[in-house]
Amino acid sequence: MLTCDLLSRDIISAVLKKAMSTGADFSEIFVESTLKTNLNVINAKVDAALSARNFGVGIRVLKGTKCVFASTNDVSFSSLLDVASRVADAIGDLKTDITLNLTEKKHKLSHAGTAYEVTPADFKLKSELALSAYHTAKNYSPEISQVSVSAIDWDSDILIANSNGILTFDKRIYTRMAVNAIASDGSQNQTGHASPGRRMGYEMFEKEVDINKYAQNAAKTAVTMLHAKECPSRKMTVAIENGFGGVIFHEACGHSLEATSVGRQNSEFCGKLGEVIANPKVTAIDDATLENAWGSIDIDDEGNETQRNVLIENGVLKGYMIDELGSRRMGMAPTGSSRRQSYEFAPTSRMTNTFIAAGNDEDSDIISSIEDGLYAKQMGGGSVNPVTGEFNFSVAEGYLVKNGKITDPVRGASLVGKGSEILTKIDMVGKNLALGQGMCGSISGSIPTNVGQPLIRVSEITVGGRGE
Amino acid sequence: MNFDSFQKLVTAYANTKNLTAFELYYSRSISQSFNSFGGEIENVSHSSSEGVCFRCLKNGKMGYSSTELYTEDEAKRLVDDAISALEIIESDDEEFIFKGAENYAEPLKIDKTMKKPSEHIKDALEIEKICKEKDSRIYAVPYAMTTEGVGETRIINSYGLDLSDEGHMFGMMAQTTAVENEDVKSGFSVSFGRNYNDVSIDKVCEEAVKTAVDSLGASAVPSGKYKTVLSNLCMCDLISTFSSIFSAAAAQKGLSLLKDKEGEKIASDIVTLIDDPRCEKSCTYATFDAEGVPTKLKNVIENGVLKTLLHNLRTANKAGVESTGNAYKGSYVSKVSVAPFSLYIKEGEDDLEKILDYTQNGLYITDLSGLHAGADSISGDFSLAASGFLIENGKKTKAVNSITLAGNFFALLKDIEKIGSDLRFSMPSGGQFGSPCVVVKNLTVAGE
Repeated sequence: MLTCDLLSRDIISAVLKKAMSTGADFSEIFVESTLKTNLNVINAKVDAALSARNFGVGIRVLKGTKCVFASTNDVSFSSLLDVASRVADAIGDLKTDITLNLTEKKHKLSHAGTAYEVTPADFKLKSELALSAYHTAKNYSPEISQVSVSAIDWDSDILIANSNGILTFDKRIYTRMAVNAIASDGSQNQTGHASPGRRMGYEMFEKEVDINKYAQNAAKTAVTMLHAKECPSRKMTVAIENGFGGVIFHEACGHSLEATSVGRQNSEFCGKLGEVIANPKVTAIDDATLENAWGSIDIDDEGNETQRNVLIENGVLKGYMIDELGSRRMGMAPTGSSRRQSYEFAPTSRMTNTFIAAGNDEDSDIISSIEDGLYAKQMGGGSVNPVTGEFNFSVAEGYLVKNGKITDPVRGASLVGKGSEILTKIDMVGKNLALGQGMCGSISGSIPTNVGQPLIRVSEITVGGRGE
Repeated sequence: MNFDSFQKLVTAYANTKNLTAFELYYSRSISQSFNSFGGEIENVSHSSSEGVCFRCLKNGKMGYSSTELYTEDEAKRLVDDAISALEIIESDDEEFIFKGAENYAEPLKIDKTMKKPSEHIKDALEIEKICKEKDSRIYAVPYAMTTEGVGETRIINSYGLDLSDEGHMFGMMAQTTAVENEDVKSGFSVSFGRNYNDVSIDKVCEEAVKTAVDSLGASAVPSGKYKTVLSNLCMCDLISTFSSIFSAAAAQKGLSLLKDKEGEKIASDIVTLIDDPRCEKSCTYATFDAEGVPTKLKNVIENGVLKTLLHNLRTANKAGVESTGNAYKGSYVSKVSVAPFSLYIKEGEDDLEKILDYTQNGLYITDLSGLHAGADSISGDFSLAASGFLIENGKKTKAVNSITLAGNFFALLKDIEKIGSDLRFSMPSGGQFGSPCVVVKNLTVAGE
């Protein structure tokens, strides 16, 4: 179902004008229809399957840096005018006359022409793939006591129109499969995870992702961790592997470079454009335009075309990620970075595919440079306080490094530090860039983002664990 | 089209499908929030949402589908997709739609009238102003918010069951930034209640300022093992993070180490853990669970012994017991799972001062972060960023941060030496979690 069938141009114009009738200087309507499915496999059987339609409208007005937002799933004309009056009443009392000419704005549509072959509620193919992943992980070792696999996909149709005259449409298809493996010796459990995702339909499993390889890796992590000792706790030199290891940049710096923090003077990187904030080996990029990538979007949630944003170049701060409201607060142009989970959230500046670019160090040189430290092969998630820059994240699969060699596996490690400090301590950057998929949570909800990096070395960071 | 008309369309169509039973789970909510920044109302949001989940039973298998769009085509899609979902289910665990019970607790009398925006605006401005005035070291108040929501849940099924519950909730939140000698710290406080009078601007402001200011000048302590006092809110965070270990659904799937441990000692003698669906001190109040089963109070752990896991109809049938009335849906869209309503550790007798005096030397931890990543409910392991204070000679002394606190939740339950009297509940998120402060024998710290 296309959103353009549901709301006529006349209704959209009327709602946008009504919303601005009391002196707002910007109004916006975001219409969404999404069909989502979720299928779970456990104990070698399909255990649950469901589908869900989300359908509704978010209306936002701005006046300077004030913002009023309302959402509803009653899309009758009278309800929309009511909501528009509500936001208008909340933002001001100045009566103004508005003229508005909506012009349809076309953009590159990644999904145009590529029909989504698997309709969201077609569960057969999904269950076959999920079961295949289940058996691969379960058969990896007799120590694998349980495996759960969930297959998630969604297909969104979006309409965005605003008082600048923009009217635009988008289609967004996402597919992800998560494998969780548990290894057990009866009294202790350890886990391993893998969850590849793409902004594609089920063709991702033919073209880009061998799910059985991921399932095997998840099982291998769980078994390795079952036999691992507790990670010691102290400051160490740490090598962090490529792919999801990029969560370190995402948490430690990415969030603090979003206008959501910077525009409210709430980030340790405020006012530092052009300054050296990182080791010269660090170049960091947020790029929403990568083909099929989990964090990619053709247009952002304010209807702007997306772009490749260089955040840090050879250690120098080059840019922030900026939405309309952030642009007003900071006096800088938007960067196509506005995102939201759904029509129920007002959009704000967010990351897309954010990564440390490939450098010039050989992986083998990075490992052999470490006398006594940690090799973080698989990272878990993390979080940050953007005000202080204090971050933490967990190591899902780690190994001690002694005299330049990777040795015993260790479990239960976490890394803590401060964003501005860690950036200067990334002193070696490998050549092999890879991306990893995550869901990122912030004030505009939970959205798909990629993190990424090549293998990097952090000269010193606090490692927490329970070992001696 | 409204829900009543839509429901009739769905029911009529479902009746032609030869199903054992079916259910409509309807949810509606209206919420508003207001944020003051720089002495002005910077952000207002209002959300009105409703949706319905249809689930249907055939041959003991259940399929689900939900929607927010009320049209004739969508009514058919809803039923057809739920049927194609149940047809793919292979699990042997039988599923149920509940026929109803004789007695349900009295529902709360809810006044659904929402406060005027002008009253919220006054409060939000006040929160920002008071926080700034309380201490000269408060340099910014990034969030000074008030929020309010009303909601309704209704379960209608083909056996004739028709239940509904309503709720009304108020919340206030403040986040502060304190600066001194180039040291920047942030503070936070949130308060929720069923009535407007349950939330206090003064208390929220005082806590938001105190948590920021008191942590100024914090530094790491040497790595090692420390006797640790976990504050009430930190213990709430841990109980919340690890609450799935008490779910019979997790246990039956081999995802909880408490599988088959009923009747065994799993915690220190002084620990009693209660799930109370109608607890006075928390915001949660439910007369029926997500399957329509009446809710009840139960001791999950009594004097250290695991008395029961939490059940819904499916897990209870598999275990050969009665449902504990803990069927849960995260939102109307979700599949029925298992969760507590208000799960809390019963308070002891000593206030915080006595607890610190008992501890003599160690750490008083007041903030844990990274719970969604650094804690694993399947192994029980946690390794989290922490901050708080050093305890020296029975008194709280210098502020501590930039450390990690690591342990295992199953071991921690056994290592609780003393329980305080300051029972408090954390922010509601579906269910709610409560605890007083607790003294834990030793936890591992990574610091300097």
